[in-house]
Amino acid sequence: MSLYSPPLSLSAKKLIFMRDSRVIINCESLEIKKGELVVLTGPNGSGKTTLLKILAGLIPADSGHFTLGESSSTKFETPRYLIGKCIYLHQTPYMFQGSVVRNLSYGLRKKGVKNYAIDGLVDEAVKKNKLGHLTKRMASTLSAGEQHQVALARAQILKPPVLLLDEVTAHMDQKARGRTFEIIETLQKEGISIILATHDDETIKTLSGTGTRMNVDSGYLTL
Amino acid sequence: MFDSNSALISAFSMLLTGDREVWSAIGVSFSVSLRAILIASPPAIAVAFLLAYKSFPGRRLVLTITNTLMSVPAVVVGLTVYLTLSKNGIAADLRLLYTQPAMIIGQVIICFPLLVAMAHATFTAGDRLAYETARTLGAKRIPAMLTVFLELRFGLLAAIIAGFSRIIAEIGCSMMVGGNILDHTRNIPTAIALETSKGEFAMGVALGIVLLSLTMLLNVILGVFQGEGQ
Repeated sequence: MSLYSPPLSLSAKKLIFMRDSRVIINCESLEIKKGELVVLTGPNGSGKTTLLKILAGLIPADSGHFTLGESSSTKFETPRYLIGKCIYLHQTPYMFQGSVVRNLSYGLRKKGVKNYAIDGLVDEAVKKNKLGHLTKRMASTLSAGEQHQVALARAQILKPPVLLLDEVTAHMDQKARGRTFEIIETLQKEGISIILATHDDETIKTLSGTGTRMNVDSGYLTL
Repeated sequence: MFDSNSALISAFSMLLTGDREVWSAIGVSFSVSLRAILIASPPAIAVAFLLAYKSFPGRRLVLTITNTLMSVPAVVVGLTVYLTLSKNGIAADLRLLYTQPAMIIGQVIICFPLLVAMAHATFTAGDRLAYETARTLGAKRIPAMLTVFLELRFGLLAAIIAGFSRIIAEIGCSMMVGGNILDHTRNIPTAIALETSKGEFAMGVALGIVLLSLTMLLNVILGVFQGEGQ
């Protein structure tokens, strides 16, 4: 069995998520093709994070129909197959205790990859993301911007079909931002589909050129 | 009249010369309480995890019951276990009354709510993102849960130590269901009670020193874990 899933398209139809009888997400249709970038914008509390978490399989929707490549599910079903394939990056990433390398290798270890192979893949990710200066550091000592970079590399190392990035450029300086934009472009070229939720004008401006912009307002998704 | 100096000297002498009765009670205490905490901890931590991370009907009721059970006196637990295991009890056929397994059952019941409450507090105070991060990076439910346990290990160890401290020092339940039988069910607290009632203060003091030292040691370990966790 291959370690990596091939690039896949993701679609969600008639997606409804409610909390305390209030509609939080009401999305008629969302489709993202292989290697496509969707920039998700919207005011605070509009439902961007909830939508991303639903698409990552972390929150079960009240109803909806999901399709990821060949896999699909109908209403009232938690789409478990999304977990690990649609990787969600939190707005404030969680760093596991221990070193940066331990964090980078977490997903590989959970997939049962052998130690000798992990070392090579981690080295490759470190080089690709220019994180060499951070590898000896404990994850808890990283700045917020550095944590975002490590979290992105930690997800990228798994080569998921879909990456769901929540305010990934928040807390990053110009240099790190530029590097992140480059990484996103590379990921797209590798066929990884990306949905990126952001408030940041520069990120919207830079990435809207290469991707589709969507807006979420009060849980409703519009192009 | 009670002479505290000579009692203290005799107590140390008993401890250092390896007095059989003293060390037998210490052995029973550790054997029973360690087994009880080992049995109670895994399910208690799992229950606490579910209470903290999953929402289900009756969750708040379970939490309220857990908090209520925390304050139930050991002697009431002892009475309940006694009635269950005694001749006319529903579990009389097990013939466990006045045995170490009976004491273990009692101590598991005593420490379980405390373990659940303290572990729940640890999970609630901990970062919920740890579980989500583990899941989204491909960990299945149980490995993701174990990752959270590992991340919060200092708080969970503190809960286990607090549970152990509670049962190693309890007397009510051990006395009722164990019967205070020398070399079998006589542990430190029941031995102290017996020897003191007989006017044999030296042995009571010796065992008291052990219990006090143990409590102090556990608190030091607890402090170290809490410090590490910060």
